[in-house]
Amino acid sequence: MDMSQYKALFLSESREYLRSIAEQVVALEQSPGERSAVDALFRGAHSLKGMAASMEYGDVVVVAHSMEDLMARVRDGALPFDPGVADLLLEGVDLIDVLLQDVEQERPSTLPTGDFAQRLAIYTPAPPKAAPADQAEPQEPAAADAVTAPHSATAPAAADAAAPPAAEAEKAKEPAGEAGGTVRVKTELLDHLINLTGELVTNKQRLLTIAGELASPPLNDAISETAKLLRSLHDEVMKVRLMPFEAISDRFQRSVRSVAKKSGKEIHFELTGREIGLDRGMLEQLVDPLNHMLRNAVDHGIEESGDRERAGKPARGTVRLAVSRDRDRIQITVRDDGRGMEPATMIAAAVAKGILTPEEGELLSPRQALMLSCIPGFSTAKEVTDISGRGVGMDAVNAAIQKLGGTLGIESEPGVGTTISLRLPLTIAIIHALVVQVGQVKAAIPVNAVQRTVELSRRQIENIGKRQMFQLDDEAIPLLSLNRVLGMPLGRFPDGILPLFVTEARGRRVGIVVDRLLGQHELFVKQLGRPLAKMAGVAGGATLGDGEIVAILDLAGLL
Amino acid sequence: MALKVMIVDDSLFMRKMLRDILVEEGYEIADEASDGVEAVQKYKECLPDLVTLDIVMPNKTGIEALQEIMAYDAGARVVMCSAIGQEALTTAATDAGAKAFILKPFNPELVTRVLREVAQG
Repeated sequence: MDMSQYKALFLSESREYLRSIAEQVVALEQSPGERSAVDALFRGAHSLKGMAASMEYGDVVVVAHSMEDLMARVRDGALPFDPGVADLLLEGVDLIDVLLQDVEQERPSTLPTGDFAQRLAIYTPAPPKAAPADQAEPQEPAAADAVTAPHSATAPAAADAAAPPAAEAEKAKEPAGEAGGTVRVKTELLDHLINLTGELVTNKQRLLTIAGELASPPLNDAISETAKLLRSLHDEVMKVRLMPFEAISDRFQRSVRSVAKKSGKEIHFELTGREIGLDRGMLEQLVDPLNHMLRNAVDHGIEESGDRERAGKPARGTVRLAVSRDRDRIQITVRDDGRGMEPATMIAAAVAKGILTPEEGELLSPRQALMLSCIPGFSTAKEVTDISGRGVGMDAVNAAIQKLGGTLGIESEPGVGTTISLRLPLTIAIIHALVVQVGQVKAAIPVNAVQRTVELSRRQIENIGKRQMFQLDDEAIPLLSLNRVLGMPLGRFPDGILPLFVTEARGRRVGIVVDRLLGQHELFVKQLGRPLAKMAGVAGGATLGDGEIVAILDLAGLL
Repeated sequence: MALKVMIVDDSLFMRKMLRDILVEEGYEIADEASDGVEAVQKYKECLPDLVTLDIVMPNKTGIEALQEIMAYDAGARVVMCSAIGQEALTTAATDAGAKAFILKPFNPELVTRVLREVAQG
């Protein structure tokens, strides 16, 4: 029998089981003794084993089988579901996840499963008095009587039959089948659909350009009707691409758990909004930034329990991840009740690092001071993160969010906690962008990065030291030439008016001078292939209505 | 006339494989079910000639579903599907009226031979 035809189905269903296993493990840790979750865990491992055996993926079979046996011992009461069991199961999930990637890439397995099966087979709970030893692996040198014979794992029928019907927990696990009027569709097909819709949007822009030249009212009517239909089509296609946030959320529970364990802190993790739908492409790109933010919250935000108690707080810190939808924006917040950040300390650290002059530091508002944590080079050094209480990789987080067309904001109160909020568009495929002329080329800047546009008279420019500045809302804003940044000849501005847009870079506002502001356009973003994709500062490309190609700039990467 | 088979398994992958094997052999697929509760309900609706019934399933195990199907239709011809490691359950299934067993992973020849034997009584 040619099994290759089942590979895609095997991979997608296996991953659903892995996801469900990881969720059940975390759920069981929160409410141990939940019989339905124990049963579901057993079944998940059992099904994985059976599927892998059909595909003859021996490594996956071995790992899944040992997980199944471990869960059989828990189910039959031979073993409590303790943190050690949870660790082993999650380790198994990670192992299989890597093995599945190898299968997918059709490469020989890169991961030795080593003694995993053996460790599960001999696992016995740590003796009750053994200190804070959740993470200790069973050290008993293979106590012979601790080894469970494989067959004792098979439950007597009565035990199986006596299992209560697993209720709610099951629903999440059940792979979305063909029943109930739903179909499984390859994700490439969805990508294709959004591509076509994007091309149509580009074409509509082209029609608009032509209609402008022809000045024909019936044509204009037809185009505006088409534009309406296109918008509905776009919305519908986007809906199809939406996936619930929970598709990625189990990883966060696990990473919070593991960082908490490593840093010896007690953390209560809350997640709300797991049902909120996000664009599939965006979800994938949110995993790393959110992981960073959560790790920071646990590692740097939450204090040691002793410190917390002295400050009159509960010993256990709370980290909340909340996802919500606000019309056409997605809001994601990571909130901790930790030590918070002190703007003055942040400024002092930035001055000490030579990122700011003391004078510049004095000009920063508290909000801008907190945003200093997003400047590359600010937060990588350990001593600074210890002072600021936050910061590892926040520059990378900020850059990733900007690339997605989103914005990042930080609020913090010393001693009370920190909240980082991300605001994201619903889609990353079609964006609104400000198109500008720079020398011979046109470039597009996503509107989320543009605070406002200004036409500045030369007289309004002040020279302060070597820098040119102008006043906006009582704030001195430095000027930068996009031509210079891109290595183009500088603009001339014979009429003495400089077009510019204001954006935020390195925690403060900057005026970016261009040759001309060409207005706002709806663009269909295309990823650049290699080697262009490697260029810093370019987020993608798009075609304008007149057929001209523009680069979409990633200002965070450029400035 | 082609015999009608109902396939019960909680894994879509397993159902698809079994379906392909059976269709290839000329069986008609009466319906599919993904748990024990659904299996009993759909059995009553489509009254298939044969059932392949997985044992380890959510909501109601294969053994429980088998007992209910047999209580509803004493003439039901049910073949249990079980993975290695579930041998202990075979006695319970036979007691409850299962006609035969198929071991996972499925071997197409074995599957069709067992089903043919059961179909012929």
